[in-house]
Amino acid sequence: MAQARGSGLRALGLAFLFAFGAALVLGPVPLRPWALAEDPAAWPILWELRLPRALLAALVGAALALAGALLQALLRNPLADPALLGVSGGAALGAATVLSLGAGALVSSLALVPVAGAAFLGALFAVALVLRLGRRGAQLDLSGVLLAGVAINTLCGAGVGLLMMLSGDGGLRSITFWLFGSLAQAHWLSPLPLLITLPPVLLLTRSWGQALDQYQLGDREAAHHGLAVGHLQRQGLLIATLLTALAVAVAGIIGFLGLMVPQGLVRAFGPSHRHRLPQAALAGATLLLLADLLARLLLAPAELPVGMLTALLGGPFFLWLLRRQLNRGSEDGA
Amino acid sequence: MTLKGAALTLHGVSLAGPREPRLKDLSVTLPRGQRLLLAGPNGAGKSSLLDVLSGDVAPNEGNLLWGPEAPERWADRRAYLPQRNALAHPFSAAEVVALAGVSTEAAQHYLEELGIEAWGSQPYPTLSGGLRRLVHCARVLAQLDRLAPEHGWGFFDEPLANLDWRFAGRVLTALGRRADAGYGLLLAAHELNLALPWAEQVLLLKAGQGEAFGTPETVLTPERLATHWGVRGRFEAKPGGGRLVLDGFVGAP
Repeated sequence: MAQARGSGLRALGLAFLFAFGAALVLGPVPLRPWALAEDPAAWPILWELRLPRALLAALVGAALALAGALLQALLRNPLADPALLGVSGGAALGAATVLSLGAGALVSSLALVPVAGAAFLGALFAVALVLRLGRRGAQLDLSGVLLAGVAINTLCGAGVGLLMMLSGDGGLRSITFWLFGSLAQAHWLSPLPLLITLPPVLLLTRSWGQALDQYQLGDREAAHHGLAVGHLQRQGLLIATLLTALAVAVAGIIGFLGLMVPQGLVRAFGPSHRHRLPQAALAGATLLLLADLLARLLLAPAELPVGMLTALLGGPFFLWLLRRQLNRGSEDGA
Repeated sequence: MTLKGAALTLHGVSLAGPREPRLKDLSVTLPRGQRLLLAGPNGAGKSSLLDVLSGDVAPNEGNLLWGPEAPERWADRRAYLPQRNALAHPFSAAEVVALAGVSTEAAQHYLEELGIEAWGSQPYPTLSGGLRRLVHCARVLAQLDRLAPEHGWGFFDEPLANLDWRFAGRVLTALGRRADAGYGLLLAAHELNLALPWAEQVLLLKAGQGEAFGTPETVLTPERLATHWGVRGRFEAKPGGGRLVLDGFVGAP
């Protein structure tokens, strides 16, 4: 039974601390924590490279997994993911537009604000489009939503590519950055937008467990139990969009994290949403820290974009899940 | 037993439909604390009436009178089992019942009441159609029990469909128990041979209009059985239930 499994937050918290520590210590140049004082080269590596990058990985991972958990719950669709639905693509196109207009020339701290704002607008637009195109009658249709997401992703990807080519500076390189997100550009300012946003989001959603559970009954029956369905939908979608946009603005598109983490949590801790959102935040942070560690180590001293790694892991997972879902649909018959 | 709380009165309720109105100028007073059966052939407007009573749909004309002390929130006034359920999330059966806001132990209790406790920990999507319906029925019973008997109404749209006799009997017993406790209770069903002996009063709908409201034998006359359902038969009243005696279809040898 699900209740016997507990919240799992302690175990997930420990795993997160472990991953964070590993991200600080391991790398092309391994650091020995006990020898930091004697090694003058170690401090700059830790303070200027590893720490901001680990912080960024944790925040981006938490944001994407939380957004994925919200989208899966609110669309009642285990295949939902911010990148698959085109939300990340919309955010990337928004951010790339502002950058190609020359915001990149601003001091990097100032550029973050318009870039994040444009990413949010682009993501909102993508969400609205997916919800509109994926509707069949009054109901959201699983395949409709996914196909709309595919189309929006393709369009946004092409748009980003075009903008980067036209703006000339480092064209191909920055296309790769947006389409396969990376944490390599982390500096002390990049974690800031999510650092400000995540705590209030976790606070606001801390008692959403029961509501998200009831919501699974369907709009009508959830309302019979007194749930304010429309309110929950709007708030949840807005939060998921905002978190995705801020993650994309600082790290590009990192796909499949929002898909894999909530689905893994369902298998580990049961279907209830009671602790799902904090669980997702912790597990997402841990997973992206570890993925980024791999991305840094696999080809050291070169490194993979971490988004490429999550896509390599997540793609097959998605196909497996899709197959299961389609099989289940045909068993149900009606 | 003295009943507290007001009856539910419908006053000239009409609901528009795509061609014909779904409900036409329906006026009736539904007493609480009685086993009320909502009967009528397919398309008579039973589900439309339950939708209106549940607040899912606002009537185009007329109004509902819930009584002066009725709670503000619809969720405190009624529990509703609609005809179809959309749930696909892999909750266990007991977790589905717990969505009514009860503990998982209490949820198990409701599954027992309907005789399906053995499936309590099985994932809902893997259950058969009839069992899924029973799980939702248990959930709505749990919600009904959380309401105050003097204000609460339970509306059940075809909970007996696709159930074998044993489970249908369990459902009818559970619903009767709520009516005896003073709750308002309205059951829509096509299984007249099972539901009529259970019912104290029958509201008969025909083409969106209230045709008759009264005891089973006054409402289910041989003429109505023939014109509305196309069967030869009659209802024999007996203390403690009575029975429906059917003798083939009209026109058949």
